Amino acid sequence: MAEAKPKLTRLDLELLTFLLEHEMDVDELSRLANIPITTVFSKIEEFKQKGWISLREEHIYKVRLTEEGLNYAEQGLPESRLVNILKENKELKMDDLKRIFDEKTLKIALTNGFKRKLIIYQDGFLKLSNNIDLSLDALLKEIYEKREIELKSIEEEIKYLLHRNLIEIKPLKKIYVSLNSKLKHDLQTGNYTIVEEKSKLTSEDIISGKWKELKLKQYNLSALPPKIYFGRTHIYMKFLDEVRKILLEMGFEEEEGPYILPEFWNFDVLFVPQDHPARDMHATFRVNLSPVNLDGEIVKRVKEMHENGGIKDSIGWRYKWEKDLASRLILRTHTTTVSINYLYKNGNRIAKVFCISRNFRYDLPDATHSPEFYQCEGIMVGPNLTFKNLLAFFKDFSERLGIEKIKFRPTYFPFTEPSVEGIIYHKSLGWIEALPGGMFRPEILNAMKVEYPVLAWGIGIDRLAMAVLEIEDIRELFSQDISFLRNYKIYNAYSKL
Amino acid sequence: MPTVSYNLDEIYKSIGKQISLEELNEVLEFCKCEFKQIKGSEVICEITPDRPDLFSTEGLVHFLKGILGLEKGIKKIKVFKENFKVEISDELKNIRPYVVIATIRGVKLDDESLKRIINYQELLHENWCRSRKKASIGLYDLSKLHGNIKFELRKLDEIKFRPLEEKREMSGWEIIKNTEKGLKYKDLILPNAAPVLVDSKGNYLSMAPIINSEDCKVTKNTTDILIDSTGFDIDFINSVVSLMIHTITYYGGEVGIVKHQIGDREYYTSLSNKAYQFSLKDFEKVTGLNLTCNQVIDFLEKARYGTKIEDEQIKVEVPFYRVDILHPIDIIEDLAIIYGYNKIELELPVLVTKPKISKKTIIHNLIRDIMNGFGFQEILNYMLCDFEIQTTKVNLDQISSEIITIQNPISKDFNCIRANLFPCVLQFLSKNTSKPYPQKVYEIGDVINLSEGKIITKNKLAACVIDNIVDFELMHGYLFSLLENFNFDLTLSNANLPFGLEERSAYINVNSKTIGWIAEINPNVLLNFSLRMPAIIFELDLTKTFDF
Repeated sequence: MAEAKPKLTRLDLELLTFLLEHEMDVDELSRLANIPITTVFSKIEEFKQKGWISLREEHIYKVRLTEEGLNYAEQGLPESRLVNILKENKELKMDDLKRIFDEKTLKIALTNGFKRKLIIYQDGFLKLSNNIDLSLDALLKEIYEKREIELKSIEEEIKYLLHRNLIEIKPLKKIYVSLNSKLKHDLQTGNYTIVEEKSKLTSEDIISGKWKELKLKQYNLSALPPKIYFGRTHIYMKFLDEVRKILLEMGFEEEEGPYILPEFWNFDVLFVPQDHPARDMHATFRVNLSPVNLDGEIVKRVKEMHENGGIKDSIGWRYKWEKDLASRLILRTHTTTVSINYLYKNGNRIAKVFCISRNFRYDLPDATHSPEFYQCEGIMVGPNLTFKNLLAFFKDFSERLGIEKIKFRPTYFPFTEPSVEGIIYHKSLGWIEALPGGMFRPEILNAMKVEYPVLAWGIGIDRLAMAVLEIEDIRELFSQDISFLRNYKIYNAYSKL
Repeated sequence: MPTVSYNLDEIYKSIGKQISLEELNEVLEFCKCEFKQIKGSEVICEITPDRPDLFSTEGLVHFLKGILGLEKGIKKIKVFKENFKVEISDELKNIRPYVVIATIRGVKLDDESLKRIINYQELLHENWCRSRKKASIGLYDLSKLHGNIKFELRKLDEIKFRPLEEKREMSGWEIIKNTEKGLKYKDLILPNAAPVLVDSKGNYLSMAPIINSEDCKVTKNTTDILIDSTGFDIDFINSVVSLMIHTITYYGGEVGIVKHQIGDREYYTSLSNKAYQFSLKDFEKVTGLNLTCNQVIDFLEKARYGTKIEDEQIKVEVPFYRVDILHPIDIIEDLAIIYGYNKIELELPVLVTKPKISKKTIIHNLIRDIMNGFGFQEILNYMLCDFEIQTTKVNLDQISSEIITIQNPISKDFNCIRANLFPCVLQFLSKNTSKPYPQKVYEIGDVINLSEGKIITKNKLAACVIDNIVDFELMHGYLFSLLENFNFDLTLSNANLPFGLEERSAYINVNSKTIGWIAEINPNVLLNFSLRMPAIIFELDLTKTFDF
């Protein structure tokens, strides 16, 4: 009895035909057939069970150039450039080379030139060795032109390039599919039947009533679905919005202010003395713009505040306050400037105001520092406000955010007295300093013509966000990795509060 | 914040018992001081800069004894008038005009205490004296000095003495060229002359503010010490001398004050305590705490103040070394600290106000809803940016003069403030070329540019689709639907944007205002960012669109 003809759907036939000539890896099959990889995988699984195909795995390495590698692919490796120069000049002194190369490139060229024995140093001169091998450049060029190459094993040359950080290597598993000989023969001789199988119901089927007779394909429940990237608000912005909502519930009003302003509004009005280290070039960014012209009564009042306190009972900082220093334009270093500016404009009026925005400080980026960062700051202005109220506000705020434990520690800010640091407890990170605040000093209230006490507070919002979102590096709040943002599981973070 | 190191043995010795590190950490909080680590018998801490009297083990111990209730009230020292005087030359008027000198006679030192005092001097130099710019400090063995002291200006080549730690005499020139301190502080003196302190026999005490003489330095056998501070403000350098005296008199001694003369003006070293007063009501108004007179007196004495109550006024005697007290509010804070911040009963403020969210935030959130619905991922970039990314890399050299640059950038990556959003978006995408495509991203953020000398901040939205094939119609559709949802009727008009492909960029107009652009990015620009796929971007000026 003749063996049963294999039954193929149109999709089966299309996929299997690609395999007639030679084996093929699953990725390529998906690309050539223009069928999603997940569908191809589920088909492959089905073919295997029917005994139509065999699978073979192979481990390979994908090799790409790094930024530095790209540069060298275009210009040649520094040591090769040195070799080419020596080919023209035969021998050169170090000083000549210093004119040709910048310091860093020269160092790289020499180190590697000697290591690879391309050059020698003799009697004060650099010369070519008799062993000039520039095959590395060719290899770099090859990767450059193909953008990416695939290797079955890692040879010495590749290891060397990796060591020099010129390439990146990604190990990868490839799955090759090949037809079994029986099916191959059947396909070649046309020994198969096509079955009309529908996988998707259409509107037409429903309207025509055809759906009653249709044999629809059974769902493959074990196949992985395609990965869907949804659009989403940035996790940090989402967090800031939660904070904003809490403050609104507490009756606060949102404010904002300029990023670039004279030192006057960032420091002087806040009683920060002009020789305070926070004001120097290693703490604050200055911009290349001419200083502004400061004028008016407020300038006079602030000058007095610094020189003699401006009020009975205060002695001030006792130095000669200079308008010129206050006129320089800088990037604001804290959002307290928004609070104080609000006070200046609104005077003695009951208010609760907050601002969530960016600030800038001369900090080299590392896991805990960023030259640009968010702050959330605000003030409460009103009769009979006390330090007690400020501490209670901190407690209330953290509870609303889901943080149960908080304690307080004395601290110092030039513009508040008393001053406090609120420290909150996070389940996995322990105690974190996150809530600085205090009452604006009487000298400042006097300069602003405010009689009500002012409770000023800040929230180390970056730190708090890092704690809540379980991010260990502050730079990740501005993550440059799209996969991190797409795959971040926000529920995990909030469920731990 | 200054990093200080305290000697545990000395702390234990003076409080008469060992306390656990936990307890120590608790009491350190009263000093605005945070425990960091232990190295041998040294505790390394970070302390706020306002209390330089606590930068030394000696100063800390004095305060701790108060907090622990072992010793209360104000410190008493014996003060007498020295019989020599200090003559200050008029020539120093615009250079380093003042010196304040005091003595301590009858101190008992040893190697350890001497080392600690020198460390304290250095710590004050760095922090409180702003790296010697504001004031310098010198300590000398008084028994090696004779008669009146002169403070005067001398040419560098006339100066000759043996500087600290050196084996031979050096000229002023040699000092600034060949000694570590000379090289470090030479910019604080004139190019060819420096202020010097000399005694009546012509012996050098120091070349201020650079280095002292080896010949009259303080050793562990010194019992009589002369302290000097030079600078620009008598009050300030006097405060520096006060701080040194507070720390050194921990080891005993009586303090001598000295007459200083400039021409016919004269002043004395001042070690007088200051008087402040406030009422219980003032205290309650600030803190919300209700204390009895006895509690207030107890707490103030624990904080090492002198106290008296007269007619419901609390009269406080502030010790001479408390340089941080500018106003009674500073004493009120100390009271609250001693009371214990964590013992304060919390009471929510009763302050009824109307919550108000800014229009900007409302609109941002509406935009986010729609962009997220389109399937775009929100991204966030710094406003600090690389100038080249804002200009050359996106073919926009013509806007160079509109970009605000940083005078003191930390690196090239952050040398200007962005004037457009889309270069930052491209930069972001350039770091994600190995991640799955399509990539649909958007950013809402502020940019700043200079327009006719004015600083203009704009709030913008940039959205980008990048993939193997990108579809202008679809992107136009997103843009159209977005704006339609805000009741805007948009038209496109031809633009020839420098970073766009020819005939494939347009201005976005609503109500005859141009509010942005949409463009297929020129591959030249894409390749500048190592992007090898086509991309379409639109950027909207939200400030203009929504009148923020």
